Amino acid sequence: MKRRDFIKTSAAIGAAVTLLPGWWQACQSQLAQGSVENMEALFGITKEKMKELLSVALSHGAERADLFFEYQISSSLKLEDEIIKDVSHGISMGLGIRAVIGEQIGYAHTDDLDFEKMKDTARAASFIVNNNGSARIADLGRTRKLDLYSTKYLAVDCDLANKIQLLQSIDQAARRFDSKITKVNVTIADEMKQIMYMDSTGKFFTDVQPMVMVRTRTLAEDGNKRQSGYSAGGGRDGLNFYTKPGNRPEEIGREAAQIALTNLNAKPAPAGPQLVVLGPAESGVLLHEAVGHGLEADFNRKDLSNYANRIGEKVASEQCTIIDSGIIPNLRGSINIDDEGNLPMESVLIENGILRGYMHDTISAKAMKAAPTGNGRRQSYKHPPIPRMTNTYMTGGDYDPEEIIQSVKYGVFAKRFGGGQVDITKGDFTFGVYEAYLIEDGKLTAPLKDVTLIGNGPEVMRNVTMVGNDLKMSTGGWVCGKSGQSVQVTLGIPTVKVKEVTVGGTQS
Amino acid sequence: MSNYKAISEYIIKEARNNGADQVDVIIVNSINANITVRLGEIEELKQSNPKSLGIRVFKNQRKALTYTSDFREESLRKLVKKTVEIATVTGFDEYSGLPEKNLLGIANVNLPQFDQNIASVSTDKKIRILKDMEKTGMDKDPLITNSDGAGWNDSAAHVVLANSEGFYGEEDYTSVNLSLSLLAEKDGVKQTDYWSSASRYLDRLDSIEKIASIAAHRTLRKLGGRKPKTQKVPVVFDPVVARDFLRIISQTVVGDSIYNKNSFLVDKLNEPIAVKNMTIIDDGLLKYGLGSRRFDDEGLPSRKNIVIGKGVLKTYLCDCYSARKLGFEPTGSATRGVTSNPSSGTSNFYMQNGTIPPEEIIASVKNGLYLTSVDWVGINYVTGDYSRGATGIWIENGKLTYPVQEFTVAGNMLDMLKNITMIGNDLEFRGSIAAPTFKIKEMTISGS
Repeated sequence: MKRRDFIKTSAAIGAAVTLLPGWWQACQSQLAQGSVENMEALFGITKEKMKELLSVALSHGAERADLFFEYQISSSLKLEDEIIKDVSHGISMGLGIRAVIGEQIGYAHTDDLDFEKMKDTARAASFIVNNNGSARIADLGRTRKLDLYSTKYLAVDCDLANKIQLLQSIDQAARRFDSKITKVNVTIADEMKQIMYMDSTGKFFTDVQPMVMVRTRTLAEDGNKRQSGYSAGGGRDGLNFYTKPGNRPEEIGREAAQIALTNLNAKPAPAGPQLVVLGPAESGVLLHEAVGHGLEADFNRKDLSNYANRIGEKVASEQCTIIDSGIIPNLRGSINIDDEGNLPMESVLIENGILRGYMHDTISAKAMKAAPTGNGRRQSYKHPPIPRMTNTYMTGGDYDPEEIIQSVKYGVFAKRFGGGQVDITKGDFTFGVYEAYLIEDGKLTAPLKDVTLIGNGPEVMRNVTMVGNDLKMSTGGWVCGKSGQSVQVTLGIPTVKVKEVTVGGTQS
Repeated sequence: MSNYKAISEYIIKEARNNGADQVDVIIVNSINANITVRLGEIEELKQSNPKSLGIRVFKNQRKALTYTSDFREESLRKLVKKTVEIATVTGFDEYSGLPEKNLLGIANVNLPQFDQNIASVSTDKKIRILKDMEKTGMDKDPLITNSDGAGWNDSAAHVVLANSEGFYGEEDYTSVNLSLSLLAEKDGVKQTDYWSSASRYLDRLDSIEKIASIAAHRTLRKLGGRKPKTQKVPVVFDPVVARDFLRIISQTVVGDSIYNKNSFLVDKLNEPIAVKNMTIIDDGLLKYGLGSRRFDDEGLPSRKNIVIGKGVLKTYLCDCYSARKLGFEPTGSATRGVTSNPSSGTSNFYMQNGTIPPEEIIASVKNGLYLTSVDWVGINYVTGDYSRGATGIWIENGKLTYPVQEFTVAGNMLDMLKNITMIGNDLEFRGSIAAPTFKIKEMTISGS
C-alpha cells in the first residue's frame, strides 16, 4: 500500500535532522514526564477521590461517566515591524465531567479544583437523567496508549531568546528575498497540555501533548499594487521542528515572501467549470471538507450526512484511497490516545473508491455497533469529546506530478489554500485558494488572483482522473471547527487531477 | 481570592513593586448554560462557571501579557513577577503603553445589558421551550424529515477592567440565544438550514414560532436547487449576506489592519469609497446592542463613530496603539479577550437603513440573484477581491423563482461599494453587526 511508503518517508526525514548550532538545546524540559503521581499532585486529587466524583456523576442514573483533567500552558511571541512586539504566557487548568446515557450527555466543567466544587460539577453533569441510579465503577484496568511525540524539547520550556532568534531569522529571510517585501509579521505560538482521564468503565490515562506553530505574513508592495503572502509550519513537536529540512527559518521566510511577490502579478481567474490540478499537501483540504466531515460518525448516526448509510457503495473514483490516521509521529493531528481513552489508528475511510467506514467516538461507535476508531477529541476540558478528524490524506497513485501537469491543455493549478467549508448534508464544499496558476499547453503560466473553488464532494471525488505519486502531508496550522470546538488537524494529498471543478473567478 | 476589585488592586500593586511602569488587569467571570434538544430528546446539557484574568505590564516601553484561571494569591504573586520578567524580551516600542490618563473614562449613560430574569428560567423550562420550537419547525411541512437540533445558550458575565492610571470599571452582561437547525428532503436530495435569535434580554428574543418558521422556510426553499449558468448579473444581498459584507468592512476599517496594510481601505481616508446614500456607523452605546458597553477594553469611554458618511470614509476605528502608530486619535474601539492584547475592533457596526422595501429591490431585477448565504472563505483583505461559495434564489422578471446553489459570486469590495444601487429599509439587529438588504449592479456568477 502506498500509505506505508508515506510513513516510511516521514520517518526518514525525522532521522535526517541537521540541527542548527545549538539554538534549540536550551529547551530541555523541566517537566516531570507526565508520571501518574505527578499528575495527581498537579491536580490535587487521588484516584480514590476521582472514583468518588464518578459516583456522584452517576448518582442520577447515567450509565457511564468520565473525568477529564487538563493543565495547559500556552505561550506566544510576535514580531512585527522588526521588533518583538508581544509576548504572552498563560495557564489554564480545570476539570470537565461528563455523564452519559445512550446518546445523551450531561457536561459540566470547573476551573476551581477544590473538591467540593468538583463534586458540585459532577452533580451538575449527573442531571442529564433524573432517576436514582448507581452504576458500578469498574476497577481500573491498564489503558494502552502510543508514544508519538517526545516532550524532551518542549517549546514552552525553551528560553525566549531562542524563539526570538527563530522569529528574527524568518523575518530577515523574507526581507532579504526581495526589496518589495515591506512588512513581515511572524508569530510563534506553543502549548503544552497535561491531561489525566478516568472513566467508570475502568479507563485511566495521563498524557503530555506538545504543540508548536509559526505563522508568517508578508506584504509585498510595488507602486500601487499590494499583496500579502502567508505561510505556517509546526506540529505536535518541539522547537527542533524548525531544524528539519523544509521547516527551517530561511525556508519559511522565503516561502511567505515568494507567495506575496507572485501574487503581485496575479491576473483574474477564469469563471465557470474548469479542469483543476490540485498541488500536493495543502490541497488535502479538499479531502477534509469534501469527504472527511461527511464521514464523522455523529453526522451519520443522526442521518444528517450525505454519506449516511452508504458503506460499501462507490463514492469516489477507484484511484482514491482516503485515510484518517492519528498515528503519524509529530503531525499536528496525531494523538497518543484520544480524549476518552480510545487508541487512535489508521482508519481507511474510502478504499479504491468504496466507502469503508466512519470516524467514531465512543457514543457513535456504540450507537452504530462499530468499534471506536480513536477519533473522540475535544478542544479542552470545557468541551465533551465528539468525532473529529486527525490527519486526513489520500494515498499516492501511479503518476508523476509532471506527467499530470503535462496532460492538461487548459486548466487551473491550485497550490495553496486558506481554508474550506462544507455543507455535510448536501455535500457542497468550497475552499479558498491563495496561490494558483493557469495551466496552458501542459505548462504553468500566469499566477491567478485569490479564487474560491466550489463543488459537490462525491461528484468531485468521482471526477478524479489522475493521482500523483507524490503524497505529502501539510505541516500548516490547520484548525478545524465543528460544533463550537476547534481542534488541531492536518491533511495531505498527492498531486491530483480533477476533470471539472467550478472556479469562482471573474473572467468568463 | 474572590473580591475582584481587591484582586485587581493586588496585581497592580505587586506589578509596581516588581518594577513595572504601568499595568492593567482584566477579569471575566461568567455563568453559562447550553442545552441541545434533538428529535424531542435532550442531546446535551452543559453548565459552567469559568473565570480568568489577564495581566498586561509595561516597563521601559516594553510589554508583556499573561493570563490564568488560578486566582490564589500565591499563584498570582508568581505570575505578576513572571509578567514583569518576560516584558524585558520584547523590543523598545515608542507607541506602547496604557492610554493617556485624560482619555480614560466611562460613558455616562445607562445601558440596559443585564436581564436578571434569565437566571430564574429553570432547566426544565428551557428544555420545554426547545422541544416546542423543534416540533413547531418540523411540523411546518412533511418534507422536513430531520433536525440537527434546537439549542439554548445563556450567559451572565461579570467583567472588571482596572489599570495603574486609576481606571476602574465593572460591567455585567447577560445574553441568551435560541437556534434551530432543520433538514428537508425531496427527490433524494437533502437540504439543511437554520435560524437563530440572540439578545441581552429574554423578552426581546424572537418568538419560537418566528424562529421555527424562518428556519423551516430557509430549509424548504433550498429544495430543488440548481446550479446557475456562469454570467454577470445584478445581485441582491439579503440581510444575512449584507451582514457578512459589513463584517468584511469591520475587519478592514480598523487601525490594526491599516498600519499592517492588511486592508483595501489603506490610503482611502476622506475619499468617497462608496455610493453617496451609504452611511456606516459604529455605535458602542446603542440601546440593547449586543456590542454595547460603557467603556472599551482599554478603559476609554464608548462612543458613536460615523465610519462611512454619505459614501466618504470618515474615520478608521482605533485603539490607542494603532492610533499612535497612525497619528490619529483613538476612537474608543479597543477590544480584547483575557488571553490577548487589545486590538482595534467594532462594537455595534451597521449600515444605516435605506428607504426602499426589500420586495421593491427584488422587483427591480429582471434577471439576477437573490443571495441568501455565503461561505466564509474567499476574501483577500489586501486587495478586496471577493469570491465566495454561495446559495440563493434566482430572480426572473422581478420575482423570486427557483433556488440556486453550488456556485460562486465574485467581485471586488471597492467596486461593490461603489455599485450599490438600492438600499433596503429592513435593518434589524440580530447580532452586533447588521445591514439592510441592498442591491449591487453587477457581479460575476460562476456556475455551470
